Amino acid sequence: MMKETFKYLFLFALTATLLVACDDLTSVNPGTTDEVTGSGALYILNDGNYSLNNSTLANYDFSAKTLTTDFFQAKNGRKLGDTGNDLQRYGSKLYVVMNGSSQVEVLDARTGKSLSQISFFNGSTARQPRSIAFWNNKAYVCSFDGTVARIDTASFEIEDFVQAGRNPDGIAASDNKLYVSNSGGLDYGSDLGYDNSVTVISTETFTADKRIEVGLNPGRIRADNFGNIYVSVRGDYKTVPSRWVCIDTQTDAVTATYPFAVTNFDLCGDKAYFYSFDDATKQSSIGVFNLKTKTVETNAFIQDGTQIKTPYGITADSESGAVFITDAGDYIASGDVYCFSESGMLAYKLSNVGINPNTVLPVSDFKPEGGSTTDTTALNGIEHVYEYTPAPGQFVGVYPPYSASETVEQMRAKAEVKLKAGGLVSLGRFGGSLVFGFKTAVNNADGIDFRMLGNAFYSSAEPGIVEVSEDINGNGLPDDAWYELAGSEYAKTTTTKAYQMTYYKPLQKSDSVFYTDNAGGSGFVNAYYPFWQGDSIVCKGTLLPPTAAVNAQGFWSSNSLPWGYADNQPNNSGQNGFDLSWAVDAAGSAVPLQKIHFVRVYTAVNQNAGWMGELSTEIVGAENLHP
Amino acid sequence: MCKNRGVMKMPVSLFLRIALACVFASAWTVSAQWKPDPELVSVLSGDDSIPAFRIGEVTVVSTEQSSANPAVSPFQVLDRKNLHGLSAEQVGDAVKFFSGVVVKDFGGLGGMKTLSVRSMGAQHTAVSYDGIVLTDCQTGQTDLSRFSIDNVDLMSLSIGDGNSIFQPARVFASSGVLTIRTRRPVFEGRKRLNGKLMFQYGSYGQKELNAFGAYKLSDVWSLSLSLLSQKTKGDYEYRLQYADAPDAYDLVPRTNNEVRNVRLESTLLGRFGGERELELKGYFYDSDRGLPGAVILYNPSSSQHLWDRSAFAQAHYQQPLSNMLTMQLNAKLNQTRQHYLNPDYLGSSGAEDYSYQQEEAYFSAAFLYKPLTGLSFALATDGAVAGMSCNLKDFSEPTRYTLLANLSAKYVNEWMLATASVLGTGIRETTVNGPSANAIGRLTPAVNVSVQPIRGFDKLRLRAFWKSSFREPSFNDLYYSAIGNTALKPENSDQADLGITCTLPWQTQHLTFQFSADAFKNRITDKIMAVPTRNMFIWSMVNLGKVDITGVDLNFEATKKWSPKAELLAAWTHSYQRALDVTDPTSKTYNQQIAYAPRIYGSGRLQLLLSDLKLGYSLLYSGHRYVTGQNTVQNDLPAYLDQSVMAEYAIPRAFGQVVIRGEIQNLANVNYEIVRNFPMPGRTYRVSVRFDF
Repeated sequence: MMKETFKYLFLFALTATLLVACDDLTSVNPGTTDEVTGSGALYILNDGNYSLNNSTLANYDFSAKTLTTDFFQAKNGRKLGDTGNDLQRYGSKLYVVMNGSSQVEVLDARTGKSLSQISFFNGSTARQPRSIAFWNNKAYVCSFDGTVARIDTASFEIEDFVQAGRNPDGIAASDNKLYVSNSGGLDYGSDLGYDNSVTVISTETFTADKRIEVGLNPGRIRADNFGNIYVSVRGDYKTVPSRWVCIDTQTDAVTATYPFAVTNFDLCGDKAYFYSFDDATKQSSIGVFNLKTKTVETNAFIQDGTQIKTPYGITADSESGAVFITDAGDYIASGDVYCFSESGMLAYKLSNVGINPNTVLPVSDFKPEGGSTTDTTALNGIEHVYEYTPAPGQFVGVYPPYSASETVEQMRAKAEVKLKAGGLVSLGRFGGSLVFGFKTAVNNADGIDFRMLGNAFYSSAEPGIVEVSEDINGNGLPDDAWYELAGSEYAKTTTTKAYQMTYYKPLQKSDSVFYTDNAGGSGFVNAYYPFWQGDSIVCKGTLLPPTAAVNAQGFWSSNSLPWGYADNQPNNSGQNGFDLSWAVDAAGSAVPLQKIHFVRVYTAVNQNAGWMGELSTEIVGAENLHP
Repeated sequence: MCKNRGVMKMPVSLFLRIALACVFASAWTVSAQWKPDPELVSVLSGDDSIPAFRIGEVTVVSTEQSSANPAVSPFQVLDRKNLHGLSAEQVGDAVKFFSGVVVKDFGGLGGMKTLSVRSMGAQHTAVSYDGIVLTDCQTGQTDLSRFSIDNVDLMSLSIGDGNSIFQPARVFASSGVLTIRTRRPVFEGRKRLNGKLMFQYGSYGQKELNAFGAYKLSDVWSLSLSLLSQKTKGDYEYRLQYADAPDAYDLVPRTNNEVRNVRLESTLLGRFGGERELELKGYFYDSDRGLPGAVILYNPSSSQHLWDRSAFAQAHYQQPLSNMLTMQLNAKLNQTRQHYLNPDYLGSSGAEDYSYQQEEAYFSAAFLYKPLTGLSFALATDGAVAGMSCNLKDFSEPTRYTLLANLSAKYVNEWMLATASVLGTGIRETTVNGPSANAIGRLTPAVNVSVQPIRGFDKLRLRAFWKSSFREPSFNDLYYSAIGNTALKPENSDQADLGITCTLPWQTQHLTFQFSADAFKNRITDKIMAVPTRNMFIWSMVNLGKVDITGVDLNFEATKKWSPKAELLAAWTHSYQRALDVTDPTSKTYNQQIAYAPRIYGSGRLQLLLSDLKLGYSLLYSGHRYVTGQNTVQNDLPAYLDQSVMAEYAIPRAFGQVVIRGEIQNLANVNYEIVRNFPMPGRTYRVSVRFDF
């Protein structure tokens, strides 16, 4: 009897085990398989789904070619939390605004390590922070509870609060003022309905001074470089339509209400990239607006037929000119990121980055664990900037930023700080230059001796010529003979030696710049003159033929030269190294160099690539491979 | 982005899961001590002529069932004896032991629990309480945390149409029916009064008083009264998992989880002889609870509160009209009030303060006609008027008029039992403000058959059923501010099932084995789901989804009975379900398991019953699940095993007996979640003392 019982028990246990073991429900791994090029890394903030604590900060490392979907957790051993709404960089820090968790996370931009977690509670009530902006070393965070908090960016302490309007959605800073868009979104079901105002707060007194009526349900708000604030007003999704509104920061008055729907937008240089999306019809359009002429350049930004199901976030990267558009899909499954060139061509797509991706933030000085090719802050990076002399350019005075009355020395110091941190420095048009040195001399050993990092990517090369100099007189200053490192184009007949251009300072910063050259040419260029320089800038050097051309689809594309130029090949391409053995003198004779102490790089092309603007060499770092 | 608050707050049809069931059940092995429920006997035997509500002279039914269960569709039962062997507190806990189900449980005494059968969604499950289907037009589903099992005599789950055709039409309108039968006045000998008084204490500040009394007014009339008063602080500790690493958690008490419930119920029963009877019932429920909400990382604030008050009165009357014709009348008046408060709302009002009120009047007349031996027909006609109001801005204030007519036929012989029915549904709605929903007019058929394949061998039966049904959109689906969509169509379910049941008695060992297996295929079309239709902030309801569900349910039960006073019972259920989203082949969730549906789910029960001592052990297991329709590792909700034990000792006293009982729920203190970020309690103790008189 006992034996029988055990037999049955055994059979039962066996059956149960087998049945339980047949749980064949397995996870899918959507993954990313796309071809992606770029430098440093991209951070992508994903909302997640409300109350599921699945907001994530993803990271795509261009050098390792890996997407880490929950990068925050990987670096910090804890989850980011619930509903991340905004991601911005200030200095070397990232600020992540967590709406559901009611926190602001401060991270080291280069490593992703959390430096501080700032709580947003009023007693036991969550304030639900929403967006962040920065001004003069303070961070300003608007929250759904109607407040704007001022955070010191050194101590990460909340210093004070000021009341804005109902359920602020966005915040922008310009000219010692904060502009807060009051959505009133949490009153949409009540008689009060949506709000229609922007609150103006002085950063000096930290008081709400003005209230500007802009239209129903204002959302995203941004400041341009021309003293304007743009805000999307979304209407009530029923009878009141969405609009786009411009505010003049001098008068704090609405100067224009554009009669088209803008769901979301971002500003970059003199361009605004915007989209409208109708959840009811699933129709979207993505456009470009010229902030200088205040006209719509196109309502069909995407040129290559790329389809975006549910546009959800738009970020234009002023360093590379890339435009990132995120696709939230069905808001439930993991979304995608599309990277477009300024001309609307798809550069790459990153799939399955997280649920409801809202912000893409390129970080060119990203420092992955264990160091890597894009580690520009290693011991062997740029140590000192001796001269920063850009020619006019659309990003001159932006990278690094110029404020009125700053001096040549201040701008040099800014460029040095930026490059030591892996930031981007723009050299402007032909002849704009930068002179720097490493901590130690670069020795001429076998193969590549040092390399330069720029922001070139596919079809976006902006080649610069590199010259080197040895500190023969030992005074530590770059006042010795310079030798050009002859690249692939040096010997070609299309290359012009000893070309010279002179740029003349215009009256207004926004005016076109007059130039003359030593070939008898003259004219005007649309670019910002470096106002900290004197009345004219003389640029001399080797001129390469234009590299940009209109491609088969009718768009501007600037192809890389084979080798030997800065900002010419992507940083991870292996084609951005320089050999001191390439050095030639003015006569074109090879010069044997044992070592060098100084490097000079200047923009070597003189071309306007349509509405992409001029070709301008950009530098984000360099590495001494033979110290 | 912004939470979409309407969707969060409202129990929108989220995909639940799984499946179901079989037949047989312990009613099969009713012990001599237990007075079986005549309704159950009626259902199982398929004899509609036994009045479902007859009380009284029913004595002992057979102690051992030796033939296979003839039910035409999966039918599972937990009677009072089974229920007491579980460490379950609420109906919502006990239904987890059925096969093929998924109970969406938000955790704790106050956490909502809804029952989804075979992954069709909770709105496809009807819950019948003492013979009449409970309705909640606002959400379309029934919260089973509101019913304590202390007062329940019997619970059964029927998938498809049951054997009994003599029922109100509403019973036929859903894919599955959970039947709850409360304790009714039964008298032994000359005793005119009996009842119980129970005090219970449990972990996390739980205190409970439970009383029942039945009084025999006359030979015709008897009256019962039942009272439940309970409260708990509910501050159980859970693991706040702040990262994926197994040890990355803090132990944190659940806050704002207190509950206070009062329930009062009374039944007046009149038995006039000649199978003519009247049952009148009054019910009142009042509840006051904190809504702890989802656990949000780094944000512990929780202050939402819900007050619930519902009352109903129902009447049942049955009378034979002739030898061949019997009539059954049912009526019900129902009112529910709900008050929701969120005092920390960041809108200008400073709080969300909503009151909802629903009323319904319902009437049903049913006739059973038995023209020939083995052949019967039934016709049931139901009418209902339901209305809802609330203080939301511009709320529609809908009124729903429902008319149902069900025509059924049944044929029984010694080797076959077959039923067929067709249900006609007509629904029309009017509103005070704004548009009203489209009218619904539908015919939905069902066919069921059970056969004994081997002539003369009654230990084995095969069965099959096919049923088409739908659930109408709830008032929330249709009219909730901004979210509602009055253009919604009903959500359809089609079920097909093929099953086998067998009973193997082993007389010499006093053992009985019972086994059933059902394979099924369901399809849900026009699934009502929330999608963003205006913007990311405002989601609304559309008929979009399509779900294919294929599965198997297994039920196994063994009973060993040494003597009438010594019995060992072992039961086990297991379900396997593929519930796949087949809505859109281009979507990232296509052909993946729907949210919250485990592939496997099961339960086990072991009970030892002696004359004065009862011991019980039970377990529930669930395979892993995903919290959304995308089956990624990030969305994974781990498998769990939840075990409980109970012991009960009875001491005879002059007035009756004193019963001392102890329970440990979640014995292994497993921290798990059924709904993400709504943690279930860990190990929980409860002790009680009960006086039976």
